[in-house]
Amino acid sequence: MRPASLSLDVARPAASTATARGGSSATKGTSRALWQVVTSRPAQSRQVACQGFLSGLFGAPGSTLPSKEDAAGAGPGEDWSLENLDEVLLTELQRDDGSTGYVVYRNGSVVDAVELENLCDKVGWPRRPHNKVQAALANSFLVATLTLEDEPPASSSSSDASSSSNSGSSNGGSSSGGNGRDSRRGRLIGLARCTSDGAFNATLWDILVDPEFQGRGLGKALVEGVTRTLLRREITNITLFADGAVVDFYTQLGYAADPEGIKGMFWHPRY
Amino acid sequence: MRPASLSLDVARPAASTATARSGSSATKGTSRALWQVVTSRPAQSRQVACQGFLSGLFGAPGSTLSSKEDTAGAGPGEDWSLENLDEVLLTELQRDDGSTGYVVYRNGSVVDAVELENLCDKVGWPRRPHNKVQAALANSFLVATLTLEDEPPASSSSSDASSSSNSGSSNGGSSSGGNGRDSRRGRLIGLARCTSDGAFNATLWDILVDPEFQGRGLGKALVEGVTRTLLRREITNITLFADGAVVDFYTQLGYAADPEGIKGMFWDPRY
Repeated sequence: MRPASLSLDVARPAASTATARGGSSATKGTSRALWQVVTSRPAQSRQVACQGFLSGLFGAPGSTLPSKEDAAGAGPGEDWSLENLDEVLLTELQRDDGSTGYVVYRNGSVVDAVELENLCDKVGWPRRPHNKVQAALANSFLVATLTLEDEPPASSSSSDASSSSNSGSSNGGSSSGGNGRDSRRGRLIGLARCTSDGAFNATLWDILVDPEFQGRGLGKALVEGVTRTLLRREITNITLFADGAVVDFYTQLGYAADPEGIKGMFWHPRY
Repeated sequence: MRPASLSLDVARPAASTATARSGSSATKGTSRALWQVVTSRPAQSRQVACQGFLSGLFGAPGSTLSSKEDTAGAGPGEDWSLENLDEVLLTELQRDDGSTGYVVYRNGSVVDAVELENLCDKVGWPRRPHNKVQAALANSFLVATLTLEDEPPASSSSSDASSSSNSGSSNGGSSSGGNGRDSRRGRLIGLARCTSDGAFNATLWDILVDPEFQGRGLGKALVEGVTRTLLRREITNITLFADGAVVDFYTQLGYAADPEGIKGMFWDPRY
C-alpha cells in the first residue's frame, strides 16, 4: 500500500460502509431501539425524528426526548438519567450451538488492541499498528463496547431498574456480581469511542459492528449509548465524520450534517 | 438567552467570522507566512496551495511541503522537525506607546480562563462558564497561544536555530532564560486548542485572534503551528469544523472540506 493510504487508516470515518449497509436497512423496517428490548414496555416502532432518540424508552409514551436543553439543565431526577448507561443488556440471541448469547453495551471496558484490529479487519478497514491503537484507546475520553457474553450482566437485566453498582470505570475485569466471569468479557462485536475536552466538545471515532451482527440495530444502540453518556456529562457539542453513505444512519439518531453551513474539514486528505 | 443558544456557546466553530473576515483579506494580498518573519530568508509571497504550507520556510526554496506521507515517515533529520515549534517569535510590532511588542506563538502555556473568555467576548462569541472553560483547557491535547510580550522569548529569535531548551511543557511560568519574566506571559491575543486521541485523530477548536491584531497572518500562524505540532507527533488525521465564511481560510492552510463526501455532523444542533 502506498503510504498515502495511511490516511485511510487514520481518517476513520465515523462508521464503515459495512455498518451502514446493515444498520440502515434494519432501521427502516424495525425502528425499535435496542434499548427498549430490556424494558418491559412493548416495543414502539416509532421513527426517530431528527430531534433525537426514540421516544418512550425510559419515560411515558410520548415523553420528551433528551435534547440539548434537557441535557444542559437536567438534574439527577430526569428520566433519562436514571438508568445505568454504563452497562446495559441490549438483547439476547441464539448462537449456532444453540446457546444463548447476551449482547451487552458497556462503557469503559478494557479493550484489547489485537481484538479490536481483528474486528476492524472484518469490516474491511485497513490495519493499524497495535501500539498506536492501544494509545488511541487509552487517550479516548470514552470507549464503549458491544460484547457477546455467555451470561447476562450482573448489574441489571432491565435498564430502568436502578443499579446499585454503577462501575463506570475502565476496569473490565471485575464484575459487580459474583458469577466468576473472567476478565475477558465475552467476544467483542462492536465499538465506538470518542475524544473530548470533557466540557464542551466531543468527536466520535471508529464506530463499527461485527458484520455477523449487523442489521439488528446494534450500531444505533452503540451511538445512542455514547451520545447519552456524553449528554449526561453535559457535553453537548457532539460531533462525528460520516461517509456519505452513512449520513442517514446518523440523521436518524439526531445528528445533522453541515448545520448552518458549518463544514467538517481535514488536513491534506489523501482520499 | 434561551437555553438552546447554549449550543452556540459550545458548538464553537473552528474560527469566528471576525477572524476570517480579516484573515482572508490579509492573505490574498500578503500571503507571507508569519513563520518566515523569524528567518533570515526574504519573505516569499507564494500562494499556499491546497497541498500544504508555504514552501521554503525551513528548507531550500521549492522544497517539498510537509505532507502526510512525509510526516508518516519523517525522521528527526527532516527539515520541518528541526525547528522548535513550542515557542516561536512570530513578529514584532509597534505599540501605541511606542514600545516594541513581541508576538510569540507558544505550545502548552498556562491559560487563564477569565482572560480567554474576555478574548472570546472581543470576537463576539457568547460567554461560557469559567469552570467549564478551565476544564476544557485542561483536557485539551494541545493548547497553543499567541501572546504579546515585552521582550523576545529567551529560547530563540530565529526559528531555524536549534533551541537548547525545548520546554514543550504546559508550565508557562518559568522561562528558559533568566530575564525574570513573571508567570503571566504578556497579553493573550490568540489561541487555538485541540482534542486528540494522541495517535490518529485530532480536532481543532476555539481558534481566535484578538480583532486588534487580525489581518497580520497571525491566525494562519496559529493554525500552522498547531498543525505542525500534531504532525510532528505523527497525528495525521487533523480535523476541524469551520463556518462557511472561513472555509477558504483553512483551505489555504491545507485543509479540505468534505473529502470524498465525508460529512461533519453535529448532534441535535440548535442554530
